[in-house]
Amino acid sequence: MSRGVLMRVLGAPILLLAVACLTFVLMRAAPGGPFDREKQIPEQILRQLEQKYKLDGPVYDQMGRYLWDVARGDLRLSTQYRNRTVNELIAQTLPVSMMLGATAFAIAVMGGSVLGICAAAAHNRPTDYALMVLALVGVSLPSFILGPLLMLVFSFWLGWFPVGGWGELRQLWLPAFALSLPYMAYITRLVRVSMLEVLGEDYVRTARSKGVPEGRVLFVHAFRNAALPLVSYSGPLAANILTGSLVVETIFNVPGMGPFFVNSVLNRDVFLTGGVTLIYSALLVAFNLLVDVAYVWLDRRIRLD
Amino acid sequence: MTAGTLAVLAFSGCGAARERADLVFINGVEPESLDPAIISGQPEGRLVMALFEGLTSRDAAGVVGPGMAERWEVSPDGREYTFHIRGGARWSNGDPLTAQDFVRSWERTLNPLTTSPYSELLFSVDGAEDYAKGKLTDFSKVGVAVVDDRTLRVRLRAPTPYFLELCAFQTHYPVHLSSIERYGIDWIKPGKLVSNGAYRLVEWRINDRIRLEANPHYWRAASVRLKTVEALPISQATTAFNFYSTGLADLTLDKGVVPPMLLDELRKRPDCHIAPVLATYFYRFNVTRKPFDDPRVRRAFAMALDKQFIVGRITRNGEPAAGSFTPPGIRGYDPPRGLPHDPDAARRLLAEAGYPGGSGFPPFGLLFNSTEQDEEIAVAVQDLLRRELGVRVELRRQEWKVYLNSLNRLDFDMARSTWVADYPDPNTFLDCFVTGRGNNRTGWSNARYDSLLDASNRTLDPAARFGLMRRAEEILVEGDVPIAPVYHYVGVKLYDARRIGGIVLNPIDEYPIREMYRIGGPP
Repeated sequence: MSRGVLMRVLGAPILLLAVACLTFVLMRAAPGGPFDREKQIPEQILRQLEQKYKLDGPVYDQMGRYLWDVARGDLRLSTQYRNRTVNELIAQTLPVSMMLGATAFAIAVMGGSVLGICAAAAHNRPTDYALMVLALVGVSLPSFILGPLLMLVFSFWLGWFPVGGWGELRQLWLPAFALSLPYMAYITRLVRVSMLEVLGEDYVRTARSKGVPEGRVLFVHAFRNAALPLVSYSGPLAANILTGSLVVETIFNVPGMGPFFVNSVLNRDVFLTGGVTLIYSALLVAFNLLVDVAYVWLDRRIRLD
Repeated sequence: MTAGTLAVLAFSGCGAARERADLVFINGVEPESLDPAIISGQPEGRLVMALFEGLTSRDAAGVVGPGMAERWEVSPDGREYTFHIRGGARWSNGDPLTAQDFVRSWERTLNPLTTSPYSELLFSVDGAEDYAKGKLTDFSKVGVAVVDDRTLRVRLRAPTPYFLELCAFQTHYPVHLSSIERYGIDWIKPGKLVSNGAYRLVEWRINDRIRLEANPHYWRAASVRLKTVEALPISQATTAFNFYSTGLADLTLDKGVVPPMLLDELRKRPDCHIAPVLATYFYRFNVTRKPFDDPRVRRAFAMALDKQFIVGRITRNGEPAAGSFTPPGIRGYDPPRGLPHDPDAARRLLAEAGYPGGSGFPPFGLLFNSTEQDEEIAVAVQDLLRRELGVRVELRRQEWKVYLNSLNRLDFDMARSTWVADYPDPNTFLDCFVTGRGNNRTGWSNARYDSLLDASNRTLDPAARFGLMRRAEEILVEGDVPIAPVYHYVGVKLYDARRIGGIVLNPIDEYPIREMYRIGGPP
C-alpha cells in the first residue's frame, strides 16, 4: 500500500505543473488579452504592462518563466486586481469557500446517507417513493433557482436568515444548504441503490437471523459496505465543493473563491485562472488519494499497488 | 474539528463588535485598485474620490469648487494657473500636504513605468505628453512647478477651459509618495494607505466590503456627517436588490445593479431616482472596410435607425434618442441635431451609393458584447435594417475582452459602443475621433475635424469655442458619420430620500460621499 501512495504523492507535482502549463497556454491562446480595456491603453503603456506582468516575449518563453515561478510557490500578480498577488487573493477567499463548502459537504453526506438508508429500508413503500421524488427534484433544481427560493421563504417571508453577506454564523446556513441540496439528493439515490444491493446479501440475512436489531443491521453492518460508492464520489465532490461555487457565492454575496473560476477567465486574468485551477487540481489529487486510503480501510480485500 | 478551525479562520476579526456603518452602498464590482493613477472604472473612482482630494473638488451637485487649493489665479492668456494650497492641509497620518506632493504625484502618473491608463488627462500640462512618451526625460521641464510649500504653478500647453474640472479628477490627485516607496504595491491596503480626502481606509475584504472612516485631518472634517461608510462589491442585480430591499444597503448608484425586469415597477416608487447622465450609446462604422468606406452608406444606416423604437421598447427608462454624440446638459453647448430618422432618404442614399433596395450589399457583421440589453438592441437593429434598407446583418456577439480586442484591431464592420464623460465638456466626447486617438476605433480621419477641435482648444471665449466644437460635431454626426448615436443614458439610483440627504442628481454622475447625510437618526 505505501508504495502505491508514495508513487501518487511523487507524481502530484508533475501533474500540477502540467495543469499550470495547459491553463497558461489555453489562456494565452484565447482571443482578447488582460489589457484590452474600454478606454484604449496607449501603446507604450501596453508594452510596460506586458513587461511588468512578464507577458512579453514568445509564449513558450513566457510559459517557461511562469512554470519556474509556480514551482517556487509564486503564483504571480493578478492582472485585474492590480495591487494583489494571486497568492493573496486565494489566501483571503479560499478559507471562506472552504468554510461554506465543508458545511455543505457535511450536510450533503450526512443527510444524503440517512435519507438513502431510510429509502432503502422502506423499499417500494410510500416513504421510498416520496424520497425518490424529492431526490429527483433536488438533483434537477439548479442552484440559481434554489438559492432565491430559499431566500424568499427564509429571508423574506420568515425573516430567519439574512439574504446574504458573510461574517456571522446565521449568514452561513442558507448558502450552505443551497450548495448542498443537489449533492444531498444525488447521494440519497446513490446510497439507496447500493444499500439495496447489500441488503440482499447473505451476511445481512445472517445478522438479521441472529437477532441483531434492524437499526444496527442497516447503519452498521450494511452501510459499511454500501458506503464504498459514496466514498469514491466524495473525493471529487470535496474538491469541487471546497473551492467554492460561482452561483451560490454570487447569489448570497459570499466572498469566496468560486467567482474567480469564471470571472478570471472573462477578464483574461491569466495568473489568477492559473492559481485557482492549481488549487482545485491539488485538492482533487489529495482527496482522491484520501479516497483510496479510505477504501483500504473500509474493505480489507482492496490493495493499493 | 477542521470545520471548527476554518470557522475561526473565515470569521476571524468580524465578531459581533462590527457595527453597521452610517451608510452602506452597493458599489458594483470588486475594485481593481484604489491607486488614483491606476484605476479607470466608476466603482473605483467613487472610493478614490472619498479617500483623496485634488486641487479642486466636486460638491453634491457635481460642480467644481475649491479643494486642497483654497484659491487660484489664472493668467490673462488662460495658460498659467497659480494654486494656493490651504494652510494646515494634512494627510491622514498628520503629515503636512505641500505643493511638492502634487508635483511628485503628477510625475508619478505620467511616468510610463506607472502604467497609468488615464495619464493622457494630464497632457493639457505643458510638456506632460512628451514626458509620458519618453521624449522628455527631465521632469523639471514639464509645466508644473513648486513656488513654495503652499503655492503651485501650472503652465498649460493651450488654454484649457475645463482644466479646473480635470483638477477634480483622479489622475490629478496627490498620493503619499513616501508610503508608496515604503510599501510597494501594498501601499493602498488598510493600515498602510495614507490619504488626504474626507475618508481613510479601515478595512478591505476581497469581494466582501470596503470600510471607510472619516479622516480627522481632513480640512473640512467638521462638515463630514457620515462617520463610517461601507461599500459592497455586488454586481449581480438581484443580489444587489435583495440587499437594498432588506435594508442591508441604503443606496445603489449604478443602473446595472437594478434588475431590468423590476424596472417598470420600480420606476413608480419614490425611492427610485432617474436622471440623465453624460453618456452615449452609439454604433461605430469601420470606415476602412467596404462598403462602410462610403459616407453615403453610413448616413443611410444612421437615418434608417429608429431610435425612438429602441428607447421606447427596449431601454424604457426615458432615455432621450440621440442625434448628437455629445449629450445635452453641458452648460453653454448646444449640440447639433444630427441626422433625422428618415427611411425614404436613407433608401435614396443607399441607391446612390450603388445598392438600390439593398441589392448587391454584402452581408456584414454587427458586433456587440454579451449583455442582455445589447443583444435585444442588436436584434432590433438587425430587423430594422433588413426591413428599411434590405441589407443582411449577421449578429456577432462576443465576450467583453474579445469584443474590446476586436474593436482595437478594427476587426468589425459595425459595432456598438458606449462613451461616458470624464469631465463636463464636449471635448471629452469629441476628442475621441481625432485622427489616431486610441479611442477612435473606426479608422476615421478628417483633417477639417481635427483642425476645428484643435482651434477650439486654443480659443478662450467660451461661446466661440463651443461654436467651433459644434461645427466639428456636425461633421461627425451629420456629414461624414463614422458613428451613429442611438441614445443618451440615464442613471437609476435607489435610495430613500426621506432617510438619506445630500444626493443631488447630476449629469456628470458623481456623488461625493462626504456631502451625504442621514435624516432622522442612525439606521
